[in-house]
Amino acid sequence: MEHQFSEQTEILREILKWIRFAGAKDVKNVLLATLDTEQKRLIYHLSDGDRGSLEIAKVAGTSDTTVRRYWASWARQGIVESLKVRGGERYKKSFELEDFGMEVQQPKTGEQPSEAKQVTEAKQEEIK
Amino acid sequence: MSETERLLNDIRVYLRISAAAASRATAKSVLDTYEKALVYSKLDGKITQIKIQADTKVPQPTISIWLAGFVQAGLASPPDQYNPSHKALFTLQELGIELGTLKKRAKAATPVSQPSSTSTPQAPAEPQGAAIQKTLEPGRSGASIQ
Repeated sequence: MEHQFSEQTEILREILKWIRFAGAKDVKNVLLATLDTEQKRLIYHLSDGDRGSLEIAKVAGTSDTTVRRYWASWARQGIVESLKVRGGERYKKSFELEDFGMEVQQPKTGEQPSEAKQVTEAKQEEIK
Repeated sequence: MSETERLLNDIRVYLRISAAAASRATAKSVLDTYEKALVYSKLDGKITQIKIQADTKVPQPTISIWLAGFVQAGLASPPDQYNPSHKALFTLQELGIELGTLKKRAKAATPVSQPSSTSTPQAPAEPQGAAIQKTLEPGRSGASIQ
């Protein structure tokens, strides 16, 4: 049973690898068209599901209303996923911009690489 | 979230974006009016055609024809065991369609009667519902199932 499960996971991983390969161009086009300013790219990059809109707004130098408005728009675009948290809703990016060669200007406050970024790097290694 | 769920979720996200990109050209030609796009945006898999009619002022028979067209174009799924009504497969934003732009275009295309001192008769402006109903008449474009 366990062997069968791990085999299925392997197959899913393989399917995902090819789908990523086939869909990379479309995803990049959507990301480039949607995240058309430095600020949007930074807000997207910081949307890791752990940070709230207030925290992101502070780092990006904007209001939390703007962050929430972007999140709602990006959810309709299919590039973030909503997460239910205590007291509301939060959004998590579906893609790492670095994977698509899109640079994010780090905030001057010296933002540390998030856990999510490290996970993605590990994922990339996994794919290789 | 288990490993399997994470993989399936990633697969869905990628497929959805690729499918939306592939459907954009079709969507542009099928959802070519403000009313059609508005009706499409209401398709959550639960809403009834009567409710859509109440929300959009588009007559139900027209909605029924449009929905068949959306399904045929691969932009919506018909009612099934999971969804009692039609469901849009994408958001308008995913398809690159902006309701605001379509509305402006519709307004710009509507002839505005100018007060004139000449005796040239002007056609009275049609109510929205009547204009939509007209598109269903045979031989007119705009209501064909694509």
